[in-house]
Amino acid sequence: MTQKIAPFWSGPYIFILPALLVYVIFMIVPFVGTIGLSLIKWEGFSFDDIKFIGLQNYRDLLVDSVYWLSLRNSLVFVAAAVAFQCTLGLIVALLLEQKLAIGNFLRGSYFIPAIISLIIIGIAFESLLNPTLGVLDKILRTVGLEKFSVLGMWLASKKKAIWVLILIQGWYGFGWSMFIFISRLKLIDPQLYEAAEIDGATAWQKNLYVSIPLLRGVAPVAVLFAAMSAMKIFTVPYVMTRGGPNHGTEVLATWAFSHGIAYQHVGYGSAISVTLLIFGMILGFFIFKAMGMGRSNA
Amino acid sequence: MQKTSIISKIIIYFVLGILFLVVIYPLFWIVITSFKDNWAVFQDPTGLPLKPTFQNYLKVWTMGDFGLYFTNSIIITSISLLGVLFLAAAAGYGFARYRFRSSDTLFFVFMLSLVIVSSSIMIAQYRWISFLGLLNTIPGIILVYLSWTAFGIIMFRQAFSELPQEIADAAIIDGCSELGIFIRVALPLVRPTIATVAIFTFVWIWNDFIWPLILLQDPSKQTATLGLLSLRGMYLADWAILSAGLVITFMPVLVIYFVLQRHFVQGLTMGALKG
Repeated sequence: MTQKIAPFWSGPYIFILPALLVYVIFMIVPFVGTIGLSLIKWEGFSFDDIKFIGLQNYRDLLVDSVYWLSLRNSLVFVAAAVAFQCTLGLIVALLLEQKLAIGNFLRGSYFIPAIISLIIIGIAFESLLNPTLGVLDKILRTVGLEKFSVLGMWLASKKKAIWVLILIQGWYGFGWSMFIFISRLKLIDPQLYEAAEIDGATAWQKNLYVSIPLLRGVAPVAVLFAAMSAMKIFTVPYVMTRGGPNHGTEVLATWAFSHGIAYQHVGYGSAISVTLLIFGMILGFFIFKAMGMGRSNA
Repeated sequence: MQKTSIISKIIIYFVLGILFLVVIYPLFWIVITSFKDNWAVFQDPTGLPLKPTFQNYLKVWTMGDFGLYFTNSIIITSISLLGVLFLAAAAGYGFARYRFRSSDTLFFVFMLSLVIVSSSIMIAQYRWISFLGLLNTIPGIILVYLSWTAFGIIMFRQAFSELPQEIADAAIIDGCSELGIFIRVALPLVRPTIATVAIFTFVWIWNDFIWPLILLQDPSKQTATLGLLSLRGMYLADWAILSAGLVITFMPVLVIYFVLQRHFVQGLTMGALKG
């Protein structure tokens, strides 16, 4: 459909204004508000107590050891979860494209974790890993892998708890990565594979020399989407460990929540949120750039 | 494709099979646990229920208030969904049909929401919604969900822009207004897109935990997802009841997924390719 050129207020506005209004009021306003709130000191009770303090909250952030820990945790989480999720997604995509009998069924099943609510996932895994119930122990014992049952205790360890969360994030998100890769794989010209076959390539070699190089264009998209999802996590750490033990699983969002909502340090919590927003925007910027590249490659 | 050796095939099936079990087992476990007596859960946490029972579901629905939470979820999700569909379809059509000076800027403004994630505006949103007097109200949280139009706008703009020009021209010749073209001509032609946007939006809103947590502290307004937290607090070591609550909460989404899987796949592949 060719586009009609018309000024906003004589035509387009009827269609776009409603969505725009709601969007501005309930997303842009809180967004700008977060930045504004980060410049004040307020305990949230009475409006008279609001004190403008400029960048003081940010200066306090610099010396807040838990903030730096939460930042480090967020970054470690993003890096590890993305690596795990995308690698797994890639391998599964390649395997499924071998055109197996139950390929569609498996593909559909692998996506199921991605549509389950994160709070369900958090509570479910909490139950499964609970040492008193011992579900994990029983399963591992049946398969003869008892050594791994120590995984359940990791949640209680300040240093190791985050790895449990990373595994859970991988479980949850690999379906998305898998889909991104499969979509790209389906676009590859079959003649390329035939040519490789004529040259005597095995299935392995076809993957290595045909599929994987051609997936390079879409890899940034997969990586960055996984990164966005990992950067903003809140629910799973909140419900499984509340950021503990001892801030071992504290991430930017949970720390912002603790200050801004739980302790009612509105200004400080907002400052933490602003840093999270900045990271989100940096990642978003890279996604947009990567999409541009992806399109021209196809 | 007979080049794949038997051994390779076996290995591949084995790996995929293990992965399948890892993916499905947590859900499977929750379901079987929900049909057990909690005492039986402790006795045999991994076995199938010896005496399957619905008592957990009854308890969760009545004493656990899940009947209320589930109803709230249905109301909030359905109304928000309808709202998002209308708003996003209209805006998507506006961007597809027209070109105006600020169209790129406005579209970009909408795309900002992809990076403004819920968990980063929690505090300001809480303050803003309270200020508006909408805290602990169903309309309040619905309005927040109505701002989740970016995905729909992308999809609808794409779909509408692929409609042939002749259709719009014919409608104008028939004396149709722009609004008329949208409602009577364009919308019916993008039914697959409506389905895809509806499904994803439903799942995202139904599954959401952050906004109910922040904006619905009144127990009578809580959704199923938030209710799970209350349930866990109320029935501390009662895994059976907790599992029943979990099943009730994920069942609607799972059912929709199985029944409408085609639309999920279509939306995903389109989204993955066009971004």
